Amino acid sequence: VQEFVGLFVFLILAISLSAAVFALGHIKCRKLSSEREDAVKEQEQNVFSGLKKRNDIRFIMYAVLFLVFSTEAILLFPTALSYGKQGLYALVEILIFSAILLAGLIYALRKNILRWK
Amino acid sequence: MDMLYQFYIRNMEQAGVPEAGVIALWYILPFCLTIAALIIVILLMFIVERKVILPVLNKYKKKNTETETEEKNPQTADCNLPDDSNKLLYLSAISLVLVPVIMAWGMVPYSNKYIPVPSGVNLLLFLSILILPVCGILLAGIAGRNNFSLASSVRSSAITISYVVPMMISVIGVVVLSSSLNINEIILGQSITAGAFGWYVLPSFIGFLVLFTGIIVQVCYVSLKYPVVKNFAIKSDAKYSGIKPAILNALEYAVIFIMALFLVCLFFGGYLPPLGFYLSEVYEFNYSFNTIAVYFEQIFWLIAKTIIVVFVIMWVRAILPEIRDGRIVKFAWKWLLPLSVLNFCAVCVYKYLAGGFVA
Repeated sequence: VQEFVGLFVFLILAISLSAAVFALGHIKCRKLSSEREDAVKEQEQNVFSGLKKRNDIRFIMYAVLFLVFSTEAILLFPTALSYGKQGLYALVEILIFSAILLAGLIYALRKNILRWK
Repeated sequence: MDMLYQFYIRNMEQAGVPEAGVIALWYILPFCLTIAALIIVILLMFIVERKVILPVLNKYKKKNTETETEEKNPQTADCNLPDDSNKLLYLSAISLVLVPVIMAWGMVPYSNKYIPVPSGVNLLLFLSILILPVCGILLAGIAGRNNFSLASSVRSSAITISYVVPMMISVIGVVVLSSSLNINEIILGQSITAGAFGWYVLPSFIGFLVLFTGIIVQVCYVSLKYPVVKNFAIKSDAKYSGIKPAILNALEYAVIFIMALFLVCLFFGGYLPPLGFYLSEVYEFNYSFNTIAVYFEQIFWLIAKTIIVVFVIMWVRAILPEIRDGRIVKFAWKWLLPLSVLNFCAVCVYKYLAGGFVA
């Protein structure tokens, strides 16, 4: 537990630093004149059409690929840690696992999910 | 850490500081040192890039390229928070970039005894913190309430998450070699008397290439230098003004430096001397001087190696052409991911053949 005291103190200090920077920026600033502010707002309202606007499907594909492969990366970490204590068995297991991983990737590529129109 | 702690306690007792203050200061001091180092490094790199690299580049550039037309931001006030966007999202977008970078700076062992944030699983924490700025950029796009900013932030985060996976898997090769998740132990695992021949860049060379490519892409295309992100996500979106885009611009340099530190720690032996022995141990002045001088020499070697890597990164960043984002992402999935998995298998086979087994 003592090991994480330094971590949490560091985290809290970092968050408070960023809050302090924003607060300082908020206090010491130059205010816009009101008609200029209105002009900026008017200009912006034309641009945004809401979060429900349709986006390209390939971004979802990237997200799914990321989810799959990062999960596999997380599974590889404990394997890599304890690999020094295992024998040939672990090596064969790792090779089979990597082959399955690459086969999945090849399947995804053959399905053309990384295409660009 | 123990020796340093006792040294600190003894000196504080002699100075007559109360005990609670001593302990509080022990935790606050590393943060202040880290922030000071961060500001110095950002200033130095800013000066080097703007005053040294860019003038040289502009000399050899074709005259009629219109890439450097910087438009003046119409709105420069800092205090008007936008009315229509969520204020928590708006502010936390920048914090989500700032806080992880500061945390990552605290996790690197600068010498054998000085790690600002001591933790047993440094490497895992570092890798998990590496992904948080993606959320920051995505939130900035959403909170900007602007179609262009949303689209470009989605694109840049697609690039990031595609490159994070090969980077993580190439780091696993180092974990296999050292059997540890602590960056300090990984560095100590590379120490042999032959010096540079013990570094992990030799057994997992493909992993080094993959990690370096990932860093280059993260730094060149995801950062605000990338024109899509630069023009739309932050700059043309007038809502981010004042100190906030300034923080993002400054953090680019901090990210370059921390990535270079990370690369050096994992693959180039961190604070270990390249010749296999410390220069301060050659001449024996007296015992107490030598024990302190070793730590300063470790910091010197770490910074020297890092500056070389930073130079290469900034060099590539200055001359790299702009590539369409779809192609960048495709390169990550099609080439880097199989290469990193191959590297993992190769390292496992190497370790099996080299006989680095305990049982």
